[in-house]
Amino acid sequence: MAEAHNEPSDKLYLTIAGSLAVLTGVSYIGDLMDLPRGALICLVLAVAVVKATLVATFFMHLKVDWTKVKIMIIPAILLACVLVFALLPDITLAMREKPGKKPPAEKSKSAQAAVKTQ
Amino acid sequence: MAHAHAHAAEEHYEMGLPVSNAKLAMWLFLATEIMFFMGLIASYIALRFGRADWPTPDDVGLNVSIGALNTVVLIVSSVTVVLALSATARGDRNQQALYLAITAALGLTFMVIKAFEYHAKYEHGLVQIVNGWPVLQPTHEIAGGGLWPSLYFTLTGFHGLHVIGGVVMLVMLLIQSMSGRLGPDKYERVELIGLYWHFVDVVWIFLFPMLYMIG
Repeated sequence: MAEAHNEPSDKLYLTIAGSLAVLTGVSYIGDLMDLPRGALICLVLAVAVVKATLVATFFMHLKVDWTKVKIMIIPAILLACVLVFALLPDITLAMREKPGKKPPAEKSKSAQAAVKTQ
Repeated sequence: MAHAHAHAAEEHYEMGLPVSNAKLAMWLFLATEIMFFMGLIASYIALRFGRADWPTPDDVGLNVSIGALNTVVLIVSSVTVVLALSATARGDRNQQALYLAITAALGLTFMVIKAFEYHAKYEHGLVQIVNGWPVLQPTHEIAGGGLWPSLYFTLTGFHGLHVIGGVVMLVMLLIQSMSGRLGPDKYERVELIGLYWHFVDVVWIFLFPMLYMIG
C-alpha cells in the first residue's frame, strides 16, 4: 500500500527529522557564538530556508507532487517576495532619518555659514 | 490503426491538474496562507528595519532556548504525523492512533510553552490589562514603545491560532481512528491534514530565527 502512494520510507522520515534537529542546533549555536550581525542573519535565514525546503520536499511530498501543484505554489511565493520588495523603499526612507544623523538640509546650512565667515 | 492512435491521444490529455479536488483545494488554501503570513512578515521587516531603536532580547524577556525547544517540538510533531500517514497506508490502526495522539499532544505542548512565554511577557510589563482587556503597551520605557509587543503578539498569535486549528483537526482524526473509521481508504484525509500541519511547522521555522535571533 505504501508503495502505491509513492511515499518515502519511515527511515527516510526519521533521517530528515534528525537533519532538521541538527540544523536547529546550528542556528542556536550560531546565536550563542556572538557572530557579527550580518553573518548571523545570513546563517539563520539560510538554515531556515534549508529546513523549510526539507519539510516541503519530503514531509509534504513535493518531491513527488511538485509537477502537479507547482502552478499554485510558484505564483504565491513570487507574489509574497514582491510584497517584501514593495515595502523596501519604506525601510530605506526611514533609515535615512536615523536619530543623531543630521538631515541633508541642515548640513547645507552649516556649510553656507562656514562659507560666509570665510 | 488511426483510430487506435486517436484513442491513445484522447486518453493522454486531461482537463485540470492531475490531483484530486480535495488536494487541489488544500494547496490553494495553503497558497493563500503563504500570502497571509508573508504579509505579516513583510510588515515586520518594514517596521523593524525602518527603525534605528529596537529593544534587546533582555529588554523584552526573550529566551532563545525556549524558542528552540518549541521548534524541536514542532519538528517532532511533523515526523509523527507522516508516520501516522504511513500507518494509515499500511492499515495499522494502533500505530495510526498512537502517532496521531502524539502529534496532537505535541501541538498542545507547543501552545503550553507559548502560554508560559506570554505570561512571562505580561510579568515583564510588555502587556497591560485595562478594563479586563490586554493592551499591547509596555508599562515601562523600551525602545520602539509598543511596536515590539504588537508585532510579537500578532505574528505568534496568528501562528498559535493555526496550531490550535491543527490540533482540533488532529483530535477529530484521532477520534475517527479510534472508532475504526480511518482505514487505508481515508489516506488522503490524513495526508491533507498532515499538509496543513507541515505548513504550520514551516511558518514557525521562519518566525523563530526572525523573532528570537535576528530581533
